[in-house]
Amino acid sequence: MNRFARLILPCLAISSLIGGVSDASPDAEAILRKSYSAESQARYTGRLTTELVREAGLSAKADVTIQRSGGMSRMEYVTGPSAGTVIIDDGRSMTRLDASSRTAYISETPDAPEQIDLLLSNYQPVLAGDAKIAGRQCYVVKLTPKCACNPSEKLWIDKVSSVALKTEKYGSDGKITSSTEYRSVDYSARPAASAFRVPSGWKTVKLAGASAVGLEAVRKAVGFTPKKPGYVPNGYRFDDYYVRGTPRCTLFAGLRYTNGMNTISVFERKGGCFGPGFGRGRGRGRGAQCGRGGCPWTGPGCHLLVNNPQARIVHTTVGDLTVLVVGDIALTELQKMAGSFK
Amino acid sequence: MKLVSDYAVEPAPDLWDAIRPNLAPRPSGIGWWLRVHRLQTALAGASAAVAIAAWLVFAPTPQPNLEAQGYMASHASMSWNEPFADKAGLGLVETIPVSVQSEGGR
Repeated sequence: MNRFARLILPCLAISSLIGGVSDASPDAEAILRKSYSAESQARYTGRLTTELVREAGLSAKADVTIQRSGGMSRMEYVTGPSAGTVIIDDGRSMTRLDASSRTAYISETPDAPEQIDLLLSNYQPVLAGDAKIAGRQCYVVKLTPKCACNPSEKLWIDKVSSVALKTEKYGSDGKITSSTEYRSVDYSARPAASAFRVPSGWKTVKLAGASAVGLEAVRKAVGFTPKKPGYVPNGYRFDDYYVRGTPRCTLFAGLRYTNGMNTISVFERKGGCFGPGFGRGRGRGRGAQCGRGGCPWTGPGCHLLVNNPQARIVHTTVGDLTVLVVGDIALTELQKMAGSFK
Repeated sequence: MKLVSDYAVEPAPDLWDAIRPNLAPRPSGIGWWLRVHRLQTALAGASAAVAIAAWLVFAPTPQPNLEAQGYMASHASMSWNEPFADKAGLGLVETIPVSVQSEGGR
């Protein structure tokens, strides 16, 4: 073998090996896992448009500027119904800045450390092609639920940064419920640390029960032991007990069930009805009877209270407990869960 | 019968010319009708207004409800840290009016 051949053959072997690897179709699960890791490490600024589908074909749309650094993000709603609102997310809590009252409202958010495995046990990721979003080449990954009763999702993942630049969510009925898409993204930007802090001089308000997590803390806060449902839809796992509060400061217990991508919340409180004003007619009238034996939804059985594209609320009563089961899953599953309390 | 059929009465040639100048012009358009039926029109208008107002107040259609909106917002915060959560969309949920089904919804 001459000197030329000795040089060329290894090069050809290496290039064919590289070529073979790059020709292999990318693995949807690997793309998804990489994107999940990127979510907590990415650093960039951008502008996006988000749209929520409402009832009767209506929708709510907003333009949002976003700054992200590590696990923190700051979203400023520029247009739409939330225009002027700023949300700061540090991974453990969500802070909503109200500029008109210079007040920061802080609420704890449940942690989700290992749920990508749970997600992958309930959803099949499928690569559905390529597309360009905000000038970036993206993989399109479809998350198909193994149970048709669950909602699904479609992600456009940046081929280089692995950041999800577009998200479409579909309800358990297969209809689109929300869509968020980046219009521009700048990975060279370095957001200032101050962007993720409450501005100095602002009042901070911790929302009811913000830090109460776990059965004991919740029992102490709400004054009763929350009940668990006897039936949980296949693939869902109990996460923890939380305390939540309504704008009228009614404390209630929250139980969270997740399948890795979709949450079912169970809200419980003492009393014959779920708070005053939970009735017909713009929160007045009939609701005033609640808690005095006039609640229209007391009695046996489950009652569908809200049927929104994003989630349904099913109501039931268990002894002196009033229970709401909230989530986007087939109504029969939600009712079965609500009907399983004893 | 023959007598009757043979007896044809012809109007005087200037009869119509004599009547025409005495006729008032024929009223036309809705304005005339409204002037004549003033009371009925007012009553019909008032009834329609009352019916529309009553429908707006008492219609059994779902109405936005602040309490339900609070629970939807609580649910959104419970979903906040799900993998690939659409946080920009979840942040908008709190501002979306939520309608409550009538108590018949089972």
